[in-house]
Amino acid sequence: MASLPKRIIKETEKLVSDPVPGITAEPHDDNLRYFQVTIEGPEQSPYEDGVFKLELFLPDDYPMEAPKVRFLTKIYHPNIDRLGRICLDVLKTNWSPALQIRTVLLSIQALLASPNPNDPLANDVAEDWIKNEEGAKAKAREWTKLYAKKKPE
Amino acid sequence: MSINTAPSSPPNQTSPTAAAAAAAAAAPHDHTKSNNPIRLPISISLTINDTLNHGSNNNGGSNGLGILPSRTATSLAMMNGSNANAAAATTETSAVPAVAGTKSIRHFVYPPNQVNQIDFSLDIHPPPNTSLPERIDQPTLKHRMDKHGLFSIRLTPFIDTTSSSAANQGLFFDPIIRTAGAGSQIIIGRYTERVREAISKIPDQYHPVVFKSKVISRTHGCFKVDDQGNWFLKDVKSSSGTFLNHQRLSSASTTSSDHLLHDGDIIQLGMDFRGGTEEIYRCVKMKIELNKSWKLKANAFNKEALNRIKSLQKLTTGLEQEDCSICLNKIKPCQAIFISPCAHSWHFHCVRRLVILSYPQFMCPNCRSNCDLEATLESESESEFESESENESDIEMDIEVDTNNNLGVRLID
Repeated sequence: MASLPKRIIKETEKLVSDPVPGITAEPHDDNLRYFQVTIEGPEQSPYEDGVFKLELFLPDDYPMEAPKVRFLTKIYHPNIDRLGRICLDVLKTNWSPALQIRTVLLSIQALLASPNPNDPLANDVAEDWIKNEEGAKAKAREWTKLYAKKKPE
Repeated sequence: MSINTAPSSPPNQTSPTAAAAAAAAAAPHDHTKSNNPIRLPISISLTINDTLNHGSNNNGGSNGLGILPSRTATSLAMMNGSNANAAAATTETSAVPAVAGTKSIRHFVYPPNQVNQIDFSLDIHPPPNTSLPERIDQPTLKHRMDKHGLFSIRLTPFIDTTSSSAANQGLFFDPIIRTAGAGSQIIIGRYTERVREAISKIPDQYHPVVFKSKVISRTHGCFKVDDQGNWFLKDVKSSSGTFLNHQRLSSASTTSSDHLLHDGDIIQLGMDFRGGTEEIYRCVKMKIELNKSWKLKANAFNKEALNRIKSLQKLTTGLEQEDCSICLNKIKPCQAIFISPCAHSWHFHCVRRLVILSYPQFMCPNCRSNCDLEATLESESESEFESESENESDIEMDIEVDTNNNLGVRLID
């Protein structure tokens, strides 16, 4: 593989030296384009107190191409499907090279705080969400407890 | 070119002179110099054809051009050791002797500011009836050097706009920049696989000047630079000639004298063969720029210009933008910058792909405002003047536009 672009090195350094609250991102030892990410569920959302694992990969064409991000932790969310794929405009058509790993992860955290069942990726979840929001949120809280429990340190 | 004569002849009898020259250039030369850190911290012999067989005796010669005798390598290591205290000098001082066939022309690049210590062996023979330029004073000399004290030559393809003929414009090549200290001699020749191999470990700016064209001889000519930063061009028995400002320097297979070069001169190497329809048979036409490195330094003018761009951005977007949002590096003087109508800016290099992608439509990656890069310039400037002097409604509109931009920025950042 070609050498790592300066931009990626810079971003990685910044993520370490000045981390975003509630978000961690660490590059893999063997592949510095592959990041292991954790995002804390936003307060006052059904995902509160959960820690979600994600993987993030910077394609060769990054930053001209958006990073590829996927949830590894199971999550009950209308815009995230059972494979962990995320429906988020900045990861698709609205990607801009002025965005960065940190801004993308912040957007994902914001997506957790405000699910959008009208533009669903997981149809069953979205339907549930529209029909019975309280029940869906309760299920999301349940899943958070079940799969995204913070590990006591 | 003499390459065809070489393989048929026995190695040591081919051309004793060339062999001797090769030996002289490669081995003893470096050995004596190894005690003298001024010269040749890196020493790579480029040998061509006749000397190729000779080189194989010394190992590594089987592939012709290559990094030759192990002795050279050792002396290189020694030199790097002795030069450890002058790291800058080590990196900047590569010398690449090239022994080319029977011509035994060497390619060497000297470090800066060593004029008084090297035995100034560069022979410059100007053509009859011309004299060397007068010596220049110290400040002028300093102006000619780059920040490392090296002189520079830059070659760009010359596109003849005066001739309307659709005839080919010569071989296209990326701009070539070479830097060298006083007394250096830079070979001009043909690009071959062997050359590529031999120079692969040397920084670009010390490479010989080579072109992928068969009308260029393997060793075609050379540039020389004296201690005053004067550059000279010489034809070394090229088969198809070297032209300086359309005048041939010497007839076929004869060596020319050293012709003083001037900024903006046009050089042509070789002549088109078979009408130059095939790329590989095209001559090289190029324009030269000499010792222009000073232009690339930060100076009061370009710093001021950059500051103005920054304050313009602050005015329009309300945010001070320091870095290029695409590469995350600082935008500095002497870099090509692209400024979009929303006043965001990036290195041209970084934003170029976005500009080309949907040209002439351009969406600012920072604030997502769209613009038409082909929009007529006249009407735009008029409305700008109007809005400044006219009534409130116009100003309000301006504000609206501004808030839109800011919103965009906020959303993204």
